[in-house]
Amino acid sequence: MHEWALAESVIRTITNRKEFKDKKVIVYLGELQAIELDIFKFAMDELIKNNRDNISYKIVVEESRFKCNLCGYEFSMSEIKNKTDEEKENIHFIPEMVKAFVKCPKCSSVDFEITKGRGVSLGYE
Amino acid sequence: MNNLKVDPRESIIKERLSKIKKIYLVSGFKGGIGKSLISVMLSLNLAEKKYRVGLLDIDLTSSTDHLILGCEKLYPKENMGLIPPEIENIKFMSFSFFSYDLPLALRGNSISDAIKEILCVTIWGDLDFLIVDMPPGFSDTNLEVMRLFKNFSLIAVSTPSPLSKKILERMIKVYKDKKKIEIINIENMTKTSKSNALRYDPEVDNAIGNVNKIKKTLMYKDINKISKIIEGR
Repeated sequence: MHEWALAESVIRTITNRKEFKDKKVIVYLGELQAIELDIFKFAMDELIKNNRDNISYKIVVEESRFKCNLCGYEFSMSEIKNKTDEEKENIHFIPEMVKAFVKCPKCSSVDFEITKGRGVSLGYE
Repeated sequence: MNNLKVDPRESIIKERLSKIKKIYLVSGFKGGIGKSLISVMLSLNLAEKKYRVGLLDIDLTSSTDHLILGCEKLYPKENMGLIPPEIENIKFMSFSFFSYDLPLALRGNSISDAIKEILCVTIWGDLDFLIVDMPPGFSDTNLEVMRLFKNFSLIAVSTPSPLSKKILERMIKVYKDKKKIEIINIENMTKTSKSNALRYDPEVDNAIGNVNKIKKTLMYKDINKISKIIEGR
């Protein structure tokens, strides 16, 4: 249910920032954070019901990409599959925790960047 | 379609902190001067006096408050966000809950992202005091916390070492240049008892992980002076 907290921040941003007015908002959800889509959508729709603004949105799940700062290897989620449920949950809450549980598949370094698909961000059509 | 990418999390942080009467950052900019012990003891002392207290260990890579409190197995609950677990009537949040004490190699943007995330999703509720245990130095975490918290007071920790004092002096200038903030100076590990001083107590190391033992130390007795200063503000 921490999806509610994120949905709240999304609705607040859409309401407060004029560039989103009368636009179809794109909510990008990073693959890494593994947001529960049903809960997030439910939270968004409930919050929209109680909002005076007419908000329309669509969700785009963004593929996550990583780049090793040591060897330069670029990799995706498909290469970092072996995580426990607890580790997945910790990454779900704080995506940067991926650095505690994952190493570069090529050189085993823990020093890598999340270059794409980290968490929640907003754009519009 | 355009390339705009807006981070929504900052919009909610102010609200998450809105029911907190006073935020104290415990900082000293130098490592090993007792910031974490002071943060934990101050929180314990204020909670003992029935204040509603939150403790946030914002040191991403070297958090230790959970070790001092002996509560490595705590974990937040999910309810429209993350509810900090309670220990000794303190609402306690730490990155250690999520990293399991494994090393975290974090650079600039990742530090900023992790701090924004924890502040966005933590539901503190009503608090009299939030004590924030800051990491040493004056880089990403310190700058990001200063930017995101907006209203806070500073508990500036030094030791009798001239090096610690020199660094503190230098760093306090940055805070003063930024805005007018309340600063409480504390000298830790002193030989004598002064109003803003915490005496050196070798027993503290043996008390780590055991709250009852912590409360019997000389340092804990002295921390009462600091909590009285805070209560009076």
